[in-house]
Amino acid sequence: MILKFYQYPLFPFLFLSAILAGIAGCQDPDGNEDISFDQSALLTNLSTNIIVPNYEDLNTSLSSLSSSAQRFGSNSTQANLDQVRSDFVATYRAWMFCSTFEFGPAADRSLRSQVNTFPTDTSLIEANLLSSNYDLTQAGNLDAKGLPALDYLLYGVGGSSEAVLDQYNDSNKGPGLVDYLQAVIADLITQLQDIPATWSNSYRASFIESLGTDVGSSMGQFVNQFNFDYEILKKPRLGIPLGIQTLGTPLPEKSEALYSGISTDLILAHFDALSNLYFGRSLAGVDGYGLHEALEALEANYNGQPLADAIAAQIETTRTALEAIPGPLSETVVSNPDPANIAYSEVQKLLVLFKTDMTSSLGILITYVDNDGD
Amino acid sequence: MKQLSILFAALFLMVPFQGCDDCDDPICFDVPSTYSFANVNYSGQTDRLNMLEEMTTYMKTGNTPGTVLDAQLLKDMYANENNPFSFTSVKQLKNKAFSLDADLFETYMDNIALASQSTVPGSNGVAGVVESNDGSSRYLFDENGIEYTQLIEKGLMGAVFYYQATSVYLSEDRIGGAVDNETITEGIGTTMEHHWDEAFGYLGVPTNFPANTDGMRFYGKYCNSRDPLLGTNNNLMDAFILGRAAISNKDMDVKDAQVPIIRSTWELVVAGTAIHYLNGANSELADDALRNHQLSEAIAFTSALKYNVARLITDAQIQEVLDLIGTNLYEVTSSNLVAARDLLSSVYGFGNVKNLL
Repeated sequence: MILKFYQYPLFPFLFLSAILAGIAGCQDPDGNEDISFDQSALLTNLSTNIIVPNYEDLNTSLSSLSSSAQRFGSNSTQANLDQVRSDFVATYRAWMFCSTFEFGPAADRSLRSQVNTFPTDTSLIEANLLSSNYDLTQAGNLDAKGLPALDYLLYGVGGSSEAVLDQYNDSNKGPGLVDYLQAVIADLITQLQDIPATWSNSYRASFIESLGTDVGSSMGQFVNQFNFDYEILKKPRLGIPLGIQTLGTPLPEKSEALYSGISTDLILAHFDALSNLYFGRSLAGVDGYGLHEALEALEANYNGQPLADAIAAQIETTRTALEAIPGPLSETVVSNPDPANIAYSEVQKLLVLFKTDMTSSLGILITYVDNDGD
Repeated sequence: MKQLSILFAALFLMVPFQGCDDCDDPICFDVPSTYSFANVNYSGQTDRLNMLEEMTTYMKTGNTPGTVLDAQLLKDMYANENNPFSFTSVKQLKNKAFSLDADLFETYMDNIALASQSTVPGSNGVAGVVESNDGSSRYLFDENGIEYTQLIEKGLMGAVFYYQATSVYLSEDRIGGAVDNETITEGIGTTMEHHWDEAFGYLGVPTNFPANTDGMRFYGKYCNSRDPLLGTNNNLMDAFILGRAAISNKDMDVKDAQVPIIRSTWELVVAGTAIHYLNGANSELADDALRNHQLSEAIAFTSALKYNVARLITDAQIQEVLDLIGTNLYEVTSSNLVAARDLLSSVYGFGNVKNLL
């Protein structure tokens, strides 16, 4: 049972002191200006132990993918296909741990859209293949390149591994496919390879120094992108295939990684990436100063308990619910949508904690617009 | 201790207290009697109501024999391309239509244009204009008696206005806990306030409805027509006003409680209107023009029931009603129309009111 505050035994005394002290009895618990958190610690841990290593890990996977794609290109065997697919899955997963950082070097080149615009436009890919005259740097080809295009090229050009291999070994179509596969990988390398160095050599210093919570501050950018990226998990990654924008009619063809069927693995990887960011955890599992520690330092409250605890608990609940979604997502949204619907509602609860409670406690304004309302 | 508590509780009541949400009344803030709040703007919705009105006026010119309608012009009006209106606006209907049905309406536009090319009066199997038995009304039908003017106008009311209001703007994504309700933009309010206002803007009523019924449009008119039997006016208007006041006063529980009221009452307006037209068609069964016209209305309103995310009716029931009406309106039977009406009525528990709607 929840007692109203004037029902607590101590209420009369508190009440009197409140009047005497001239303090409103229901001051915003987050409004205490005297408490702050260690922004430097957070930004240093974030950039040094998370952002740069995560990008480096992605580039390592991408480099393996590039090598195995070369081998597969010159010798399109089942074994070589298995290897390139396995490197592709590792690269896609590694990207999930980088997609949040759309500020600084990544924002300069709209990295998210360069790397992972989905669903991919397979008719545009086929048209490019047919003409063999394409420029993947052009904006018009954003949905014909990146990881989603690789998903199609490695899994979708045929209905089975054998059929895929047949395409690559076809004397007419094969060489064009190999070229396209390698062009997409080369483009990914161009987009990604210099980013860790740009962070380490120049951007990190200014990132750590830009203190405060104003719109352009590092905390402002990070927390905005953290929420924005979390909403990508919620809507395009999970909600749209599930039919949340189509009155419950599922749209399986909108699933990420439709052809490889690794969509639920990617959802979990992305969730873990965001959860790591919240706790300040590195890929190696070292727990540093994160948003969680910031909320603890601020003594942020949520319904009488620490907000940090409420978020940590909801992260656990949400992860459990996400784990319960059977893959591939494109089948589950049609045949067995209940686990995904349950997970979606847990994702939504966590969004409220992140986007409303956490940001207001941190004093950060959400500046992105997540709808086309008018 | 108890006495002490009472004493202090009494003291508490005498001290003017600001900002605490502990208040013994269910509503702890002022609620205006009309939809009058600071920073309300739903001009985008008004623009779309105006667009559909001009589209409908144009389509109805096809009711005059010999008038050929231009499908491309209708599509331009739908997407607001090539300046098709008497006013300018950056908004459009098409990109707000329920995505899975957005293209369907363009097919309807092709269909109405095709029917309008007929040079003979309409009849079973022949597209064309049909005059009512008393000579007072004329409607353009296709060869099956379908009046595409209704499928387009009432269909877009459903796929844009009803869908956007009940399923988009009143959704968790637009007015839920993660939506900003702190930062006030001058003239627009907070993001949450604005989304609520946009839902209201699609209802098509004056701010002092139902005391004032001048300026009712689209659903506003149908709401008012259904009101005597279904009590829709005050239920809808009170919930919109109370919810908006709750948002401005940060009372999320009261706001949340208005959403199901709005959704279910609006659904009653749509369902009640479908029944109204089924009854009308049945009473004019022998008049091809009046029957087909009213059945086209009934089809459009019944189909629109699906656009409410919290609908009471199931998609299977909607399909059942449509199947009972059938696809050739010259060949309907009275018993099927009554069965369609009764099925709808049973979903909403209208009882004997179904005969009066």
